[in-house]
Amino acid sequence: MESKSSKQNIKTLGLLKEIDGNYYKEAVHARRNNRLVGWVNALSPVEILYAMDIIPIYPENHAAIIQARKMCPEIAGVAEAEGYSTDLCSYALCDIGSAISAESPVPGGLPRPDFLMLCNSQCGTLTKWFEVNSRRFDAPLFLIDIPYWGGKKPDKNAKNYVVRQFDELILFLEVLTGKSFDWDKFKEVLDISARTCEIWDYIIGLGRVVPSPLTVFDQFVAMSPIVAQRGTVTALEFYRKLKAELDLRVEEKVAAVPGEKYRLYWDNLPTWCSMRPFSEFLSAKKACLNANTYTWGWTKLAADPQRPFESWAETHLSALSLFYLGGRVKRLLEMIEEYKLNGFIIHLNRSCKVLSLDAIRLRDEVENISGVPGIVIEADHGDQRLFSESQVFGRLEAYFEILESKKQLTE
Amino acid sequence: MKGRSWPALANPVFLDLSEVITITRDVVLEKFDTVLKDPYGGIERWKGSYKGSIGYFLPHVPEEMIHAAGFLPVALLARDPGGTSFGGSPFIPNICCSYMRSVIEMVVSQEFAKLAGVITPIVCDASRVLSDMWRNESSFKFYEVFRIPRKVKGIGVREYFRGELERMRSFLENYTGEPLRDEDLKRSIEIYNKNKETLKKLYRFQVEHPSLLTTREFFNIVKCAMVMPKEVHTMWTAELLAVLEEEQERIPATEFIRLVAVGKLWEPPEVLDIIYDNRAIIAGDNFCVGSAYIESSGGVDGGDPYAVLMDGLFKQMTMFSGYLSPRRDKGAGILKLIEKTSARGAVFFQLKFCELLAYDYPDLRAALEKRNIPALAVETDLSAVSSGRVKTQLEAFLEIIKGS
Repeated sequence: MESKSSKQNIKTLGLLKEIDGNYYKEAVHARRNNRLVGWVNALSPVEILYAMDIIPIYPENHAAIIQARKMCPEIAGVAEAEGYSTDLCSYALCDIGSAISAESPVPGGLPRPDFLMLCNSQCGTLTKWFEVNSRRFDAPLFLIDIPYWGGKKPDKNAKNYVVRQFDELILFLEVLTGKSFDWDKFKEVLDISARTCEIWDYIIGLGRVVPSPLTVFDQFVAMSPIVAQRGTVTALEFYRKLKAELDLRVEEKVAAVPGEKYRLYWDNLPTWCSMRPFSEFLSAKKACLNANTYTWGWTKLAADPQRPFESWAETHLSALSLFYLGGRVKRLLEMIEEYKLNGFIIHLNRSCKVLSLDAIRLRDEVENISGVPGIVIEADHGDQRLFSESQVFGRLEAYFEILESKKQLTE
Repeated sequence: MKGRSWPALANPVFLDLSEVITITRDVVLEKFDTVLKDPYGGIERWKGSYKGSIGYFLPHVPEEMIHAAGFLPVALLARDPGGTSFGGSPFIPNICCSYMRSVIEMVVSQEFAKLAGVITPIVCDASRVLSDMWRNESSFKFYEVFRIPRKVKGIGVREYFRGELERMRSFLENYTGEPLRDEDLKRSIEIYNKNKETLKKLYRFQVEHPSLLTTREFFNIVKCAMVMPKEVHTMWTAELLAVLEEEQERIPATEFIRLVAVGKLWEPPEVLDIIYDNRAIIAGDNFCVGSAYIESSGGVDGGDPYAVLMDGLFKQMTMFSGYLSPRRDKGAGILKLIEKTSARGAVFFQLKFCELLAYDYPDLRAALEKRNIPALAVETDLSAVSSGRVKTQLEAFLEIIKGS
C-alpha cells in the first residue's frame, strides 16, 4: 500500500478536549464533592492520590495551557510586577501570576490546593516554585527528595531514604484526609497505571516506523492524560483507542508528515506558544519529528505492585536520571539508529536549566560520534517574549540546507 | 585590600598613628591578599603539610572531613574579573549563573590543575547538570558528588545525611588507603570551629569599628579562610584582631548605616565598596562566603563528630535558599537578623540566573515592608561589571534610609 499523500489528523486526539474538560470540571467541583485537591508536579507518584480519591492538579499543565493560548506575557507579567524575576521558569511565572490574578484559561480557574506534593527528581526549581504556592495558599508541601545520582548506581542509603519518604507521605495523607490508606485500591490503580504506561511506551515507539504515523507534536498533545490521569480508566481507554488508530495508520502507511523526507529528533520541552508554526514549518520541509526523550519519562513511572515504593525509588534514582549528559548522549546515539534519524534539534530552553545547560555539549558529542548533524536553537517552552520565531526559523532554514546536502551525499 | 586609604588618614590628628598602624595592619592584610591573588597556584605553599588539595564547589561541603583525611580543602571561587568581563565557557549557555560559568571556564583553562581532586555538592539545577559536565571536562582521579538532602526535616533525613557523610568518608579512605578516624575528624572540627569563632569576633569588631576594617577587607578574609590552612588563617586573623583592638581606642567612632545583606555571593566586590563608600556597612548577612559559613561552627565535646558535622551543615542550609523551607514566617530569619544587628535596611544580592533567592525575594521583601524596613534588590553578575547602575540604586536607597 502506498503512503497517503495528504495530511490525515489523528482523530483520537480530538477526544482530549472532553477528557481534559471533564478532568478540570471535576477538579473545580472537588469541594462540593468533599474531595481534597493536591497540587503536584509532572513526575509525582499520582497513583497514591487516585488511591485516596484526591484530585491531583498540575500547575505545570495549567501553565502549558496558558502558554499555548499565548497568555503568558499577560499572566507572567502579573508575577513579574510582584517582584518575580523574568529569569525564572516561565511555567512558574504563569502559575504564580495566575494565582495572584485569578486569570486562567480554565473555566473557574484552578481549585485551591489542600496540600502540595512534589518529587524533585525532575528539577530543583519546582521546590522553590511550590514553596511560593504553599505560602500563598497556606497549604502544606510534602517534598519527596530524590538525591541525584546521574549515571551512577545509587547506594542503599539513598534508596532507603526515598522509600521512607513514601512511607511518610502515606502518613501525611492519612492525617490530612482522616482516612486509612486503601492498599487494595492502590494496587488496582497501580495495575491500570502500569498498563497505561506500557501502551504509552508502545505509542512513542511507533516513531520508529517509516513513515512515522505520529509526530512528537502529536505526542506532546497526547500526553496530558498520562501525566495527570495515570492510574485511571479514562487514561487507559484513551491510549487504547489512540494505539488502535495508530496501528491502523501503520498498516495503511499513513504518514504523519506526508512525503516524509527527513526524520528528526527533538530534545527538551516543546515551545507551547509556537507549536503550530513549528509544526507547519517542519511539515513544509517534509520533516517529521519522530523521536524525543521528553515524553519518554512517563513510560517509566509505573510501579511494581508488590513493592511499589522500592520500585519507584529505583526509578527516580536511576531510570529517570537518564537525563544527564552521558545518558543523554548514549540514548540519542541509540535513537539515531532505532528511529533512522537524519538529524536532531536541541531546544536550549531558557526556562529549563536541567535539560538545557548541557545542550551545546550534547550536540557536539553526538555529532562527533555519529556524524549526524544537529542544531541548537535558543527558545523558551512558553514565553514568546523570550525568543524570535523568525530567527529560529532562519537558523532552521540554514540547518535544512546542511541536511539536504548530507542527504544527497549519502543517496 | 586593594590599597584602600584608611579613613583616619583624613584627620591630621591621626596621621602619625595611622602610619604606624597602617604598616602593621597592612602587613597582615597583605598576607591575606597574597593568598587571594593566587588561591590555586599558591597551593604549593602548603604542600608539605598536606597530602594535596581537594577543591569543592560552593556551598555546603564537609571541609572538616577532607581536612581530617589529610587534604587541604579549597573552595572553588569565581575568578575576580578585576573590573573586566569574561565570556565564560563557549559550551555553557549564559542562562547559567556567572559563578558556575566562571568556575567551569577555570576548569577548561586548567587553573585547578594542581588540585588532587574535586567534590561537587548538588545544591541547585546548575550544579546538578554541571556535576556531570565537570566529570567529563576534568581529569582528576578523585571526583565525587556530595548528595545533600534538600530538606532539613522529615523522617529519615538525618539518617540519610549521616549515611552520605559516611559514604564520603569511605570515598576519601579508599583514595588515601588510610582510615579516617573519629579522633582525626574531631581534631579537624576543633580547628575549624576555632577559625570560625575567630572570624565571628572579627566580624563583630568590624561592624563596631568600620573605620578600621572595610567590609570588602572583612569578606576577603572570610574568602581566604576557604582556600588556605585554617591553622594559619586563625593565627593571622587573631593577629589582625589584636592590632585592630589595640588601636580602637585611638580612632574616633564613625557613624555608618547598618544593613543586612541577603544572597548567595557578595561578589563582585565593587558592590561592597559602593556600600562602604556611602558610609554604610553590612552588619549581618547570609552569604555562603560570609555568615552562612562562619556561623556553622559547633562543639564536639567528645560526642559524635558526624552529628556535629550535620548540625553545622544544617545550620548553613537553613540560611540558604536552596532547601525546603517552612511555609510560615517567611522572612523571620531576616527580621531577627535586622533586630540583632540594629540594621536599618536590607540589600538583596540577586545573582543573575540564580533562581533560588529569586523565588524567595518577593515574599521576603513583603515581610520587610510590613515592618517598614527598606529593602533593595541589586542584580549581580560576576562576569560583567555593571557597578554604574548598582551604584545609582544603592546611593538612592541609602539616601532614603538617611532621610528616614
